[in-house]
Amino acid sequence: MNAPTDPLDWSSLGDAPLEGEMDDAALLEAVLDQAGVAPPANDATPSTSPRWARPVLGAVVLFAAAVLLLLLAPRWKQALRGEADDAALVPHVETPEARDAAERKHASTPRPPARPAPEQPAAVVPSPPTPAAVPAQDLAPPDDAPRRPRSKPPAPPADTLLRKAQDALAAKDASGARRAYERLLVAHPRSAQARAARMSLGRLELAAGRPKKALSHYDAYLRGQGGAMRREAELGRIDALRALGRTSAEQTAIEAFLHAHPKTVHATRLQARLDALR
Amino acid sequence: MRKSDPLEMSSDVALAQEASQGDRRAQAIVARRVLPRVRKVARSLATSTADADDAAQHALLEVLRSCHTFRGDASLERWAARIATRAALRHLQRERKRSTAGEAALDEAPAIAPGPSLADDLPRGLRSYLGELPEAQRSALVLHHALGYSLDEVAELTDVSPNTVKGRLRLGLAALRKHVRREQRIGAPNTQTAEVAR
Repeated sequence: MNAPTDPLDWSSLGDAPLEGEMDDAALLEAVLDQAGVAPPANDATPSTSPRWARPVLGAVVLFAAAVLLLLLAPRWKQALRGEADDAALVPHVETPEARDAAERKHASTPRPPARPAPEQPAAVVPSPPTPAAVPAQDLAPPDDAPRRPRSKPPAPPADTLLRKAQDALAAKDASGARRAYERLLVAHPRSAQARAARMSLGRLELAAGRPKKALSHYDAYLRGQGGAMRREAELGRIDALRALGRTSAEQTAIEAFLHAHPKTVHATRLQARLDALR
Repeated sequence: MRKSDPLEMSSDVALAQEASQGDRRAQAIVARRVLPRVRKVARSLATSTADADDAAQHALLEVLRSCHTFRGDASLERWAARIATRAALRHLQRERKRSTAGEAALDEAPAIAPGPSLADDLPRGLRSYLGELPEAQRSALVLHHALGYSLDEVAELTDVSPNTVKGRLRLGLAALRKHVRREQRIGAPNTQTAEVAR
């Protein structure tokens, strides 16, 4: 009999590893992966901004650069094109008055080649241009401008998305939960929450009659570091294989599961299924 | 190997500060150092392996996120154990609420949930007996006797009065002794009978 000598030995409670528990290295890796609240130490300028803030900062910088480019583009264009470009731009001006004025100016006023005349911008690129009076390529930037701020908003933190999905599940909104879980997978693919989401997605897809998708989620979970729900993922995988009719793979999966967890409470059910498959 | 790391030679406060500022190496060192305590807390409080893993992960993360609060008043390990205990209790409570919606009051509800539990995997010992107690009594016993918290500390950690903690400890111990005495008289339910049957 290998029962403990003192059933009330408090001091050793929790000291021994539990059967099937995640090993220390995997646990540390998972935690440190999530703990990245600040940039790694080798960053040149350490800051305490959270990970999700980086895409936001990137988007802001890009947006600012785009606005600056739009504001300066006409001037640069003129500066680069110089006098030669003046002539090219003039024919686009449809009104005869503008054309005459431009021709007169072109013929009579000698200017340094790269420096436009003071009145030229008003004649060639009027500030509120009528569509007909402005060349097509000059219309593009103002059209682009409002689109830039519509870039993707930053994804909420993984915990928020997970809670959202769980709330949706509690409200029996399976599709809402699925959307939130999938968003979590995209936004925080390496987080522990994403691994948990794989499990939930597997269950949801299986319940919705999409075993192929369920199988891919379970496989993804098992391919990763595994984790606390490894056993559940293996069971889910068996169910998905069964739903897909992949009997050979199901049989292999059941055998492996029973070999790894001979004392499982699912043993009777799985053994019966195994017998039926044989 | 750990001692050769220069970061570990610095004081614990400095280490915690570096970890709080996002230094990955400092975070890793803190996590490695406090992991045994965090795991003990999680294993003691949880009733299943999966719960213990989840609680340990959650608690360790909470420790790393709280590094900026470490002042060096106690050892890093003791400070971390306290944070981990609170985090693990919160996490396990949340999980239980989620899994058993509409559960009766904690003092009345049995703690054991259906499905694979530690009792399936281990010889019958303290953990197995604890699993038969109501959740609140079990937590109080584990916090006080296994993790060494004082009555006042247990009261603070579980958000109840010290008198309530006393009551839970008294009832929990009595129930525990009753289980043990009964089994000493008639034997453990599974292990012995299974061996005799063979």
